[in-house]
Amino acid sequence: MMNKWSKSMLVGSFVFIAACVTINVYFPAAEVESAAKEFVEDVLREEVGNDQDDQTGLIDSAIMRSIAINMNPINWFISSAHAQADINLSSPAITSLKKKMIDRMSNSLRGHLDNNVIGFTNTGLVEIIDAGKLGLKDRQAIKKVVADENRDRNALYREVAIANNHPEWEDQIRTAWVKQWMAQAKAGWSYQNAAGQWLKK
Amino acid sequence: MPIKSENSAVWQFGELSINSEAGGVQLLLDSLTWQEDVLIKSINYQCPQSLTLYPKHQCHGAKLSFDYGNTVYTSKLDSKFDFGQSFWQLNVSSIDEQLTVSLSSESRKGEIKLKHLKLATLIDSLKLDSRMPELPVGNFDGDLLFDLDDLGLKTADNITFSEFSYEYSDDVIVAALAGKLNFELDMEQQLLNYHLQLNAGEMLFNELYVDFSGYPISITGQIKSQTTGYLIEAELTNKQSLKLSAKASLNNSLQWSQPSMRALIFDSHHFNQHILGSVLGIYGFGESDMSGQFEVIATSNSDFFDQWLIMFNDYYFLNEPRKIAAEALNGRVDWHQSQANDDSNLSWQGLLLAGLPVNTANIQFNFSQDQFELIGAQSFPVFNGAIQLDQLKLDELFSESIEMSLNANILPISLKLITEKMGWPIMAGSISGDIPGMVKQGQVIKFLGALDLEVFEGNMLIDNLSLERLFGVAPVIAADVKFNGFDLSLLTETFGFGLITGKLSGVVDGLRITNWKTDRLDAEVFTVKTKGIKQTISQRAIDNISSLGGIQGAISKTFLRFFDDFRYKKIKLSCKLHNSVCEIGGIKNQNNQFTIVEGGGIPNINIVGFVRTINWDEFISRLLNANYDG
Repeated sequence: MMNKWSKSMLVGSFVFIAACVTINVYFPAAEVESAAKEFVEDVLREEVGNDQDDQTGLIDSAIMRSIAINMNPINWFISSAHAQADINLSSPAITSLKKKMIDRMSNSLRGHLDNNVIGFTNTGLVEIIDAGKLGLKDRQAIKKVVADENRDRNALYREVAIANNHPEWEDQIRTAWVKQWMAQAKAGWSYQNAAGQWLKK
Repeated sequence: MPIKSENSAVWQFGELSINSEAGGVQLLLDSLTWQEDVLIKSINYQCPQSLTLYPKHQCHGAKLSFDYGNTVYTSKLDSKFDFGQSFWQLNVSSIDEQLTVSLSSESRKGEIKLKHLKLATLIDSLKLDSRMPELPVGNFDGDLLFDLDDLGLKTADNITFSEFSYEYSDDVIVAALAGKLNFELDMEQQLLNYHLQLNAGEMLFNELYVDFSGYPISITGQIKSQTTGYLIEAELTNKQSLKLSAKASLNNSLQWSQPSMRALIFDSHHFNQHILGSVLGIYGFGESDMSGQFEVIATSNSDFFDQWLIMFNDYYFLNEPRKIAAEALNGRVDWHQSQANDDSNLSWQGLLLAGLPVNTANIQFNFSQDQFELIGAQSFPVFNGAIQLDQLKLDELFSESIEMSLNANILPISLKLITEKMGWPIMAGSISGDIPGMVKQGQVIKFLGALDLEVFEGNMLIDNLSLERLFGVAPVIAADVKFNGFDLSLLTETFGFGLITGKLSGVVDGLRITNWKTDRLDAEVFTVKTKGIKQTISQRAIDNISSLGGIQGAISKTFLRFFDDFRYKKIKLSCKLHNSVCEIGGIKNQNNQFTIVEGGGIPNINIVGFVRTINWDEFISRLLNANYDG
């Protein structure tokens, strides 16, 4: 029969062991997600007429990102050496890719997303889902736009991983972007779920 | 009431009733059977005039309707019968007269008139059982002649057509085609000869788009019956740039076999403007320009093209964004998908590959299955030197990971010519060395060993060299570089920096050049004291090094300007580039302070920097434009 002392020792041992568990989060998921959120926001943002009246501009996106990171309870416990890694999205390659993606979004992609001609895939790319509404010449033109966008997106995911000194993160970075493309898609836009089905947001 | 004719065809008539009134005459036959197979029901003939039926009958504007296969057909009929003379003449037309068939007992030949015939109406009225997901539409005008003796059908003259559209899928579609059609069908011989002119409308076939109003096409061909199906031949021509002939067999299950195709593009500039340019754009090679000729021959012994031959004839190509060009390209590229093939050869007056210019040369190689192999050692002149390939073999070309077996070296190339071409400061000396093997994984080409070069009378080792998306989006060159023994006087002379003598060594780790601009590096360059080599730095060089920190005329504005040069003990400069910002360091790095030049005599000059970070573009600009007035 176990006496009180033994019980206390056993419970104490569990507590001690539990207290010694080390969680190593090598991939800074929260930071990458936050960076992806900011990047996708910039690409999908529609230009508004009067910038001076735009109060959202008063809140610096870096501050918002910092707040988002600090609001995440996981970050209160995980070693700061891993969890507070800043995600770099400012390499010349990323900047150049982002500019091209913003221009392409304004010039053609947004219209096609609005009309559900294209949608966001579950691999972080775009795909033609119904070109039936387009004339023949436009059907060929949209193929080029989609191919260009996907080349840029594939390059982007790799460049983000490399800019942060972890080429092996490419797949996880892509996943974070997939989540953001879908989360920030406008109501009515098409996206592909994990099972590969096309849905409207 | 069975009636047996001479050719044993048996007609059976059902109940017949005839009504003749003031408003016209009506003949009703409840059934008509031919050889017990063909059953036509409810035959109703109505003539609006009150006329006799026998022995002569002639009616204009009669209506005929009958039920065949549970579908009721109606038509307009002009008829003329003389039963005593066994003469009859019929003009049967659809109610709206889009289609009129004329036939008489005096001739076995007849005529079909198409008057703005709508294909959709015809298909719909005939209730054709089609396997096509969408039915074609279009309008046709013209005359056809048919002969019942030899079962022939041909166009009397050109049939004109317009608004012809057919959609097989989102990617395979023709719309609003217009043009002329001419054909002759011999049913006995099972032979169709045709000529088609397309002058308007559009076509999309996967990535290929053609606007026929800007790129008219004429097609002449033949469809011939074979034991197992049909042999289809076509010759397709655009007067300005294309002549294409194609042949294929089509079996009774509508499956292709043994296709062959020969396309001569005799004006590639015109062809590129109208056809090829937009296709290349999809593959990332938009804005390409070309001229000259090329010919593509594709053949097969199965159901898809498995042997391709491309022949170039004085062909020019330029894609500025990708830095690719070919000048006066001649020769042939022969490839077979599944077996060893004939050798290929190409020659050119000039080539530009990702910015690397190759002078007049030729190449012999074999391209079979998924292998590419150079035939013998070959030399490709680059400026005043060459890249010598003793062996090059690529395996598994169409896989994600391509093995490259390479034995090559760079024969001395003048740095002056390279730097001139690149628009960099003119450098003295030459570059030469061995090129190691390579492997391609996905978009990345990795060199399997270090590239050993001789530059500035020293040695440079480029390790972990990789090229990523070389012809694609944001091309990247990455490497780790080590160099030693550079003659500083040559180097500084090159940059017009002011003379420094001595030997320079350095390390550049994690060098990454994206879009032809330096993106990242961790570099450190330093002088190495060498026996017999003086270490001096000129007044101008000191001024220019000082200018890196934004100070102008550090020496030249003091009494020290009377000295031409100064002795130094050591020079060291480091830069850690990240996010377009260079973190500078030197010999002694303390807080914000670092020493770049440590003096070594009298007067003793030390150059100490206090700004540890500098914008990279600014840094390079100061380094390359260090020509301040001293």
